[in-house]
Amino acid sequence: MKKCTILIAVLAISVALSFGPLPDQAAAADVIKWGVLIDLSGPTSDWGKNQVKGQLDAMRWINENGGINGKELKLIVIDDGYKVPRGVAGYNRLVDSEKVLGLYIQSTGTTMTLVKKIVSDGVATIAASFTSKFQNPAKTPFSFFVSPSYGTMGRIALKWVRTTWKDASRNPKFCYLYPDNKYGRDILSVGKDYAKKIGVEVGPDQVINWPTKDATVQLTNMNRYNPDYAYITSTAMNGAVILKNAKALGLKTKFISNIRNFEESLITLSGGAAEGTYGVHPIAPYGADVPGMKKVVESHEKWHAGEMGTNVYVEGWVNILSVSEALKGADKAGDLTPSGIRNAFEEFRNFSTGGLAPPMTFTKTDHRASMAAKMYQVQDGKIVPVSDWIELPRDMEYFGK
Amino acid sequence: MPAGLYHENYRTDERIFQTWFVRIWLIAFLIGCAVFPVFASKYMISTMIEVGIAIIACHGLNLLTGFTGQISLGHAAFMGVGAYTSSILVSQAGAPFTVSLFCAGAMTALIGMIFGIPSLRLRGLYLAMATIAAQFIIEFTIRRWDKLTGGVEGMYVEPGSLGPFHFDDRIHLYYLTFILAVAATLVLKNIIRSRSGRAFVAIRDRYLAAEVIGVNIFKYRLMSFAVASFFAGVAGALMAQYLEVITHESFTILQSVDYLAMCIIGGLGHILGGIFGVAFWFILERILEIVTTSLNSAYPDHVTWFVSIREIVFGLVIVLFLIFEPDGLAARWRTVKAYWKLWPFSY
Repeated sequence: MKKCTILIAVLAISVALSFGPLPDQAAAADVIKWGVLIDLSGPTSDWGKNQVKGQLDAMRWINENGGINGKELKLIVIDDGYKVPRGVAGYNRLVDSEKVLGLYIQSTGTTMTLVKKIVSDGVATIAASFTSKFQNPAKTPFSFFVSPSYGTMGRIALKWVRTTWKDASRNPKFCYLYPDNKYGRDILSVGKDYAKKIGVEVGPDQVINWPTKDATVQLTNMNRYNPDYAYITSTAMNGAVILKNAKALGLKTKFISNIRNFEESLITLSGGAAEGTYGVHPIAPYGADVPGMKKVVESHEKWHAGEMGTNVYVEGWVNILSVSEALKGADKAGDLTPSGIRNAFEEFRNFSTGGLAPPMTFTKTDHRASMAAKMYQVQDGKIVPVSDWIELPRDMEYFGK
Repeated sequence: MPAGLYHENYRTDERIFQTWFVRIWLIAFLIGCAVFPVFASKYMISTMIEVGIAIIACHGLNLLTGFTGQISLGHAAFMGVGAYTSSILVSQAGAPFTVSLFCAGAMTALIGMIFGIPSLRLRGLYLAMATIAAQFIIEFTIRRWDKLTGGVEGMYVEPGSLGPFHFDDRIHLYYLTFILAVAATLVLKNIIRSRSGRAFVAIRDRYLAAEVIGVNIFKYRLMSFAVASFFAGVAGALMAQYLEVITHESFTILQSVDYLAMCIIGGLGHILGGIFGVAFWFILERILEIVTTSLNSAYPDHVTWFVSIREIVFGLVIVLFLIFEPDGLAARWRTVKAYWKLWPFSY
């Protein structure tokens, strides 16, 4: 028996060693490889699973509808579990071994760690981290993302608060709730500066760290200032706790969720506490009445019947639709290389996804995809728009900040 | 090949290379590692750098947990201290890289000793709690001490250099890591053979008996923390070179748990434990990654099922190891060697 186990162990190890270099071989000429580095098993995995579902469905739909000028698009998904070293190892595998033309990176920590390497490797990336620090091509020439930045969306929310404010006797009062990390702090300086300019008073910040189990202390502190609106930077899982606590405390403050907090699962997780809260979002909610939504809903019903469609799923579609557009452009120009893809992205002029996201424009000097978003409200457990597109001017004041 | 070894004194008993056969194999292995970058792909080299760093870190943890019996769940945080110390010294104080590497170890040893003080009173689970506290305090400090560490923004690491070697070149970094990993193994082996090493083991096995025969428990526990943290610090400095940008998210408690798992799989209290554990961990990780990515590509409908495979397999491996191989791969290796030594006349 013991001999057997030893033999098996030796065999397993030798097989493992011989397997190592295997992935190098499969590089068929008519397959275009794109990497996806995403969290499917860590703290943000519920989000990651919906995102990757959308991306893979978009890939299948593209391949069934002509592919990239006849070539097949292949997404290679690697789970990084939201751990930086695993993310870096996954990046090395995708870039050095799989030789992908570009990749999608979800985790902010991994993206930040790789910033320098991405520039020196010259790999096109699209990120889930919508920080405006990745919008200046002078610093990050290969970084793109399909949405307005967190800062721009924060300003859109402030603008909406100001324009819908009726009480002439005083200015609206506003408060920020965020976790103490790079993502949480990203919009603070821009948001506060803009608030001062348009006449919105900002109260004391409340830091609510992840994983959020209870936010009563911070909400009670916030309530001393009694803001009219509070802006939540978080994720649905953690944000739901904040909304539940706020409901239990009976706060009058109206909550505005940012893009990563405002998704369908916030409604289910908060058990009704999300009812009536607001969110700022550039991506159309699943099933919205826009021309681009038909294929999304059809694909979802075909491949994931019975599962819930989410706006994260739609965002996955938007990501891959824009990637496929860039790949088509690069292929047409006969330059299917990472730098060719960068050039193709920078040719985007109001590229439309059929209303799934605001039209995208990238130029050589400006990687801001768009400057527009809508305000939504949760009504009867559904995400309903309460404003039209609110668009900010594409000025340089907060560019790259 | 000798049929048996007959030790007549302690000197031969404690010799590192018991036979010329072992020596030849070891030299062959080292030569193999040295020429490895010539024919390996870029990806393989990056992986081997990670392996080398993990081996150095695991040797430290193995000394602390395996040989001295002090559980630590803050090892990744100590690596963080080393990473930040060396990067700050190089980029802000302009120190040469080699000096910063040593200082990273020394600084981490100091911090490790501070967090080792509770070990005077705490044992087992309670000490584990205290080291978790170290993990959180260090992470918090990194996050909040913006001026020094860059706070949540993270920090760019200046690539170190030593004469003609520049460690932003992966191959150069590979050799540095390789040399340091070999050195760490030798240092650990020699510590264990020394008086201090025997004191560590005595404390682990029966601390009361150790105290009765005159081992200064507090001194040796602190020493164990210091040496383990020194290893972690050096590993952290190398990790910083490898990652190029370090943030407070690079050294989380999840990594601490991973290192402990590697030590358990390899064998706590065996020199080879660290090496086997790391090798097994990385090989398993890569196999699972290849399996899951190819399954993902083949069945995109069910992508969310396959990602769980990896987590389940890892959990299962650790549980199975604890049940069937509580002494880890190193003990199994010894059994295999003993078997072949007597083969075909095992009984």
